[in-house]
Amino acid sequence: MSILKKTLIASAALALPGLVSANAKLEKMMKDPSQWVQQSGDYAGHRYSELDQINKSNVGSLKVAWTFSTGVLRGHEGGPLVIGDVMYVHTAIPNIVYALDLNDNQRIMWKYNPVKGGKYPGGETMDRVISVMCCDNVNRGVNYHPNGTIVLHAADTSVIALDAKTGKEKWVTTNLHSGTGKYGVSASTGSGQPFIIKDMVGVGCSGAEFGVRCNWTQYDIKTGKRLWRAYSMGPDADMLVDPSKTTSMLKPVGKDSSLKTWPGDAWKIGGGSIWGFYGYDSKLNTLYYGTGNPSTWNPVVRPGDNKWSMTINARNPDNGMAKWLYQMTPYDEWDYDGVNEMILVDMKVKGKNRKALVHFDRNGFAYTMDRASGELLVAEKYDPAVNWATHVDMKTGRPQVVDRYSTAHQGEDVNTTNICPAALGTKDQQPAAYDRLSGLFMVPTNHVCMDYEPFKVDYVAGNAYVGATLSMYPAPGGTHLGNFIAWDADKGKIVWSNPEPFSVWSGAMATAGGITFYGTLEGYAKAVDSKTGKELFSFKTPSGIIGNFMAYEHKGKQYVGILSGVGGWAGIGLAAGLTDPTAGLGAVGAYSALHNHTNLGGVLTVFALP
Amino acid sequence: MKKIMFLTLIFLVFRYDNISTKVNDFPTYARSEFVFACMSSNANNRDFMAKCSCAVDEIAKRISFKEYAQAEAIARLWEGASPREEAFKSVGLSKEKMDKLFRAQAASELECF
Repeated sequence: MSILKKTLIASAALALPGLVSANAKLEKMMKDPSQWVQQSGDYAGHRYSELDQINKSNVGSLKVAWTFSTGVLRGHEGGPLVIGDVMYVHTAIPNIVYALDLNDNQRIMWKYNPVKGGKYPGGETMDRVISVMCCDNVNRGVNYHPNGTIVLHAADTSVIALDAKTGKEKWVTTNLHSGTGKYGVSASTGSGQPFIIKDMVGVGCSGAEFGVRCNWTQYDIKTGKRLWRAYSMGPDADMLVDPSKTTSMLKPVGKDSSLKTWPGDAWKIGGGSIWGFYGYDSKLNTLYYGTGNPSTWNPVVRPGDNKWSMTINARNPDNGMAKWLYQMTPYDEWDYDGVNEMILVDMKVKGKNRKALVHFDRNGFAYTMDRASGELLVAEKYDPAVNWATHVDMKTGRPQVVDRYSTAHQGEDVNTTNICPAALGTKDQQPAAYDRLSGLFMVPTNHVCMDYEPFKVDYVAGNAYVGATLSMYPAPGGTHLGNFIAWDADKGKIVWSNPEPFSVWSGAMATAGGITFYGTLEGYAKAVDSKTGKELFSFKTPSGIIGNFMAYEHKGKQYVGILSGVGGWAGIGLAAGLTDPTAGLGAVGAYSALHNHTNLGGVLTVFALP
Repeated sequence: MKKIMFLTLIFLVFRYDNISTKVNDFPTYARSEFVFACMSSNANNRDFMAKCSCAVDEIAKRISFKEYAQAEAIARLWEGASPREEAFKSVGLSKEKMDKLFRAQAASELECF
């Protein structure tokens, strides 16, 4: 630790005892490679493990050390944590949390289920929550606070603090009301990780498909008391934006920066959900997160830039005030949510040392920004197929949209075709990793294009508010739907690219062994040479992988873990001889009967050297 | 119902069945899982253990494990309703890959059931 940093901590500690010490403790734990104490590994979102026992020369002989069935079907995103000798594993809805004793053959120390008597803590039934939940009932994982708390952000938006030792509830608070019919927050859901900073936990919200106005809300970790809330759009006071101090493209945003960009009071149901992976720089004391698409998907009904949807937010975590904002996709016409992870790297950009923020956006551009000032440094396509914009104007920061692919320009009830990327983006939430050895970013991507037809919808609280018909297919000239790429964030160029038959929907992890792990939708856990992309290891897990890789060390041995689990258990459909897959696999009745006999859902697979 | 399905299968088999890729590379794990799933959806007895084992061996004769894993992934994704799954529903590519599995499945049903 540098003297400067020590002084900073000491002086800050005088002012706010407790706050900073907790943070320093957590940051120290993040530096210990034997543990995995935060969903992204560290605040910078590197997803990099300093462990090198498993390396280029021996990864080929990796074996399954143990597996753990979560007993829950459907999508398993995020990953487990390891704190000391205990592993914490979460599941898709109902969002069970398990504590496993690594010293005792992964014995279940405790199991917590937030759904009691069919209801979540907020009072909503699990079925109601599922009905308004987009995307395979996922949850992106729990996080840890060094006062011995595991925090869960459940699907009904409840924030739940658990005693890490016993699994007992310390406090429970429902962030947003997922079903009370309140205007603007009628169908919010929770899927993003709860993010721990100092003695606070912050959560975003999902549900832009349902006409919500999303926000980031910060709670006191000890009591669950709400500290501040910053809306993605609306009046300056709601957004915690200071018109004269908050900047965008290095200039103050001015008064009513959001209100001016929406017709009437459309901002009240403006979307802007927050559910990705976030970043925090403790030296700059800045929280970084991205906001999602404006509602509705039909752009014709909301002319304007729709600020601050699709925006990178840099905020002071103590009071929520926005330092800078950068909108990547003004007036979204394609559902290119700006929620993807923020990776903080100190690196040279165009010959100058920068505190950079690297962000691979759904819209197909990879952005390198100065994370202190919000200056835009690099914005380049990370899939050559991207065609909706020619480039990003570096003076204004605006993408130069091609009329041919503008769904608003083409108009309502017109099918705009061959737009790349598709609505799921060149990359969705699946987080990239930063390889500290090569300085390259390891990025799981989609290679999918779409036809998009907007239509008019009227908002009814709690109902889907989409307003567009989509169809998607592989990018022209190929038959593969994904690539796993290495990216140079200074030059803005792809260094190598491995085609994959399907979108790569798992989070990557790079390690000091010179290798990078990622998973595929067929269920292959793979390791590649970080420098060249050469495949060194591949193992078929029981289901598709949309979880994120993590690593830890136990009793001197390195382990690598990954959750698998997508949709139902396809094996049963295939083996049952159902020849019409859409009918067969949609036959929920038949499946639920089978669930009485089998418990094959999400599986955690943990690898080690023999 | 089952009979009608079989007629369709026979048609498919005669029309398309082509055992050109005799890779036969299914790992034991995958065969076991198939048998387990097949028994779970039919009956947990010796008769079906034999039939299901026969079926997976017949499928493995006809498509590579790589193709099977891809078809399995598509089937799994077809079940969901999110944008991720939507992406695969309309993909012609997915249908081709599934058809190959269906042909193999059809053949296995004729051989084993």
